[in-house]
Amino acid sequence: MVYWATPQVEAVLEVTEWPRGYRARNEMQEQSFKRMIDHGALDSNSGRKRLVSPDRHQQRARAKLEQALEASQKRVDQKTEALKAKQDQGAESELKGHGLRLAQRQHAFAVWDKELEDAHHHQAHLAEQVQAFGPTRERADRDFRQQTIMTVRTLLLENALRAFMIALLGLLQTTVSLAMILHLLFERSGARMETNSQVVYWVNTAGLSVPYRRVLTEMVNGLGALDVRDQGKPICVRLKDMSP
Amino acid sequence: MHLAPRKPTLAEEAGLPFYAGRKLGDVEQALLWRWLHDHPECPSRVLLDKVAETRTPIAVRVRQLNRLRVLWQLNRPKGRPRQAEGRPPVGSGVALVQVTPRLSFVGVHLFAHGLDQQETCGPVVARLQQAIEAHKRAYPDDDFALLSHREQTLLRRFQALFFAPLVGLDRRTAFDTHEPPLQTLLSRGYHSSPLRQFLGHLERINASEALMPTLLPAKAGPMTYVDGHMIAYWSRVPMHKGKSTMLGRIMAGSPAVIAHDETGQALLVAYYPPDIHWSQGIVASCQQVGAATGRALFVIDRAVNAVARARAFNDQGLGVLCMLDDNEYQGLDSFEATQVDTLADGTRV
Repeated sequence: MVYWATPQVEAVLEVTEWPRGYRARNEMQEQSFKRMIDHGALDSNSGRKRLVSPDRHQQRARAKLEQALEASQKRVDQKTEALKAKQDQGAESELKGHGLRLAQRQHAFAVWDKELEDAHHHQAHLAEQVQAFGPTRERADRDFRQQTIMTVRTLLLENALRAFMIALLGLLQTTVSLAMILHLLFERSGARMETNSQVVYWVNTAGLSVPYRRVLTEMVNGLGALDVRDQGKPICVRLKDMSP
Repeated sequence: MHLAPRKPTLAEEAGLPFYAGRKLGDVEQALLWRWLHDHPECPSRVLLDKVAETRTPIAVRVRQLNRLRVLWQLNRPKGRPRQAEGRPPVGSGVALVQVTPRLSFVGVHLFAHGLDQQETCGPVVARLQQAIEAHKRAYPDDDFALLSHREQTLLRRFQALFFAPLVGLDRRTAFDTHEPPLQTLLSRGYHSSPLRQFLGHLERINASEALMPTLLPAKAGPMTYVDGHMIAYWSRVPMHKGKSTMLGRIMAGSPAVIAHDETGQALLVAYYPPDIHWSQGIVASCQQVGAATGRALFVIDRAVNAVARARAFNDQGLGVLCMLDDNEYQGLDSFEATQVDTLADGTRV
């Protein structure tokens, strides 16, 4: 693997640290995208509005042809000059009464004449193609404004989940992934009861295996330590087997 | 006979305000409480018949139910039914305020309370209000619903969009086909049409730009990671598209550039048309991040690997760390290389 960087990076980060820095990016961003696709709806499209804009495909093709046309004009000019030089040389040979040299120069003149003709033909063909494009066309472009709003939503959600997980993990003994928190805590059903002094949430543990139950218990204890409140009332979280 | 001391169960701990019944659990009592609360004039026998017809029949007798009604002060007064206002306020003498016996996505509710406590959505609403005010100043003749939304309405509608993926609604139309727990989560249910209108109005005030600063953290580290993500997109309309698509039928996708900081906090997102490679706008995007956070060093995916791009970054005073693609060189033979060190994982530097 070859890593490279500009001088600003070199001034801050040791060369030996470059592979680590790059791998950290790869690991972190790739995992983050996967998570956001799984539970953040990152891959959902929003907004079907279209904006009409110049056809960039046509613009690119036209620019390419115009560049070729310009180059062919240069080629025609060069070949015209070369043909004139050969013509002058032939005239000089005729004047001086050359025999073999005159024949060689007349042959070279014929070759250059043919090349000039080909160059003219190519130029005309390119000019025809440019003409065939006609007026500038228009093409639809996707309006990304709604999509951007919804992706910002996903990123905000991911940032909030990250902060929540950091806070919760700080209180747990077991290492728990975000996917496990979502599966064990977020997606489970339960019940809620509000009293004058507190709010009680029950998390349904029906069907959970013993290890999962143990992790969920730890999570629930962690939530208790976080001191989450609802309208100033402390929230108590309990586990309970609830019949379906 | 030896008797081991009995350990208190979770159910007993949880049943604080309820009657410590031996036959009925908390949830059954909560269900009954709800039935009685909704139908206080209903005789106990009729109520029991109704409960028996539900999917969750409860084994309770009339006598037991009447005892509970007395305990909760939800007993049916004697004589002919009276007006509701004549009845003492429900639960005035008891601690119970509200019971929701069946609640889906409990963790999301707890998460939402945590966010409320930290006022996570506060800056978002503040930014939206600023954008609305700016739009009002720029276009005084414009009149659409968003411009007169209250703070609470803005907050709830944004939260409906915000929590949607967590309660299994990955696209807006799912609000109509599923039954999300928005009523218990936001005290209000939503269908897709008001949210579509809300999004359309947010688009009019260009909320995406207004919301972008809310992603930025208070404290910034030195490095920013940048990568592209392609989201598939289909259209029957001829649109600008990439190379590997069916002509005029399917678009290559919507390329997004997403930036994260070293801790994994998302900082920026920018979309480009699929026929324009995101490397062409990367300098501007990174400049935007650099200006907002004061970060000048970017670790970028190898897709933007180009000397011209590095020069452009350098000219803007930004640093780039990148990696060469495998097809851009053939081993160490392609370089004048001097080995300076070997890392712990065996990588030669």
